[in-house]
Amino acid sequence: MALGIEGATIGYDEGNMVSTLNHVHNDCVVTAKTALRNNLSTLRSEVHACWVGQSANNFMDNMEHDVEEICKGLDAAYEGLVAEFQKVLAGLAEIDQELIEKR
Amino acid sequence: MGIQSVIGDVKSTVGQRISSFLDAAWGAVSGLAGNIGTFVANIWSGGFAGVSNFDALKTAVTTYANNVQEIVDTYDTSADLEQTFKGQAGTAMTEFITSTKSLLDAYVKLVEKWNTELDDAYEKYKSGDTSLSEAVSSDAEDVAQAASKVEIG
Repeated sequence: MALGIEGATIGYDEGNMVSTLNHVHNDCVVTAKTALRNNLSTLRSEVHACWVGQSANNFMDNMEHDVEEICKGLDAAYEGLVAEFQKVLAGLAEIDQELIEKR
Repeated sequence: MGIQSVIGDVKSTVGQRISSFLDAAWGAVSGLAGNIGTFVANIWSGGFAGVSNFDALKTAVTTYANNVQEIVDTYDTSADLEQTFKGQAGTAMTEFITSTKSLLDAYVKLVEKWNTELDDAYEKYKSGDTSLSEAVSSDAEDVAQAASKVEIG
């Protein structure tokens, strides 16, 4: 009988872990960054169509600065998630090694 | 409703368990909250100089916020995660997705609040429009009088 993770209360499916992490990275971090930057590009065009001058440039520079700060934060958050996972998995590996003592 | 209370409400919505790894991102959004009041400073102090179509400007900002919100609304704490992670690992992953969504929700609310400020500033500008025109007219007369006194030759 194949042992699956279904019904388990602790553990991870090693085979799917990397792909799941990549999936979350793409669906959350990359999607958010792409949406923010692409829509900002559209906003810049639309703003400059109805607003000229230094204030318009400053407005868009500020908006882009804000988006980049959030993007940096999202990247840092994902790196933190991966680091936390590595700690959790190291802990699970330790438990696995020490649970049953070899005779 | 200030953005700090918005951020506070969002944080309590997902519980006080927003993991520390999202602090940098939350710091970015919280930092933006300091821009309230200064967002439109350049516009208002210039009397909306250079703005040819205020409604188009407002629509552009609204569309930006709505488009970002649409993407955020697709975030889902996928049941697929439960096929891969159990226990603390699964909780951390779910929390990451939920917190990322909350953070972006807070940013969109911030942009919407800025748009409201833009509206208020423009209303004030319109109500002061007469005095602005009179000042410009008066200055023009002064220039004309001064010019008539200049002798050429």
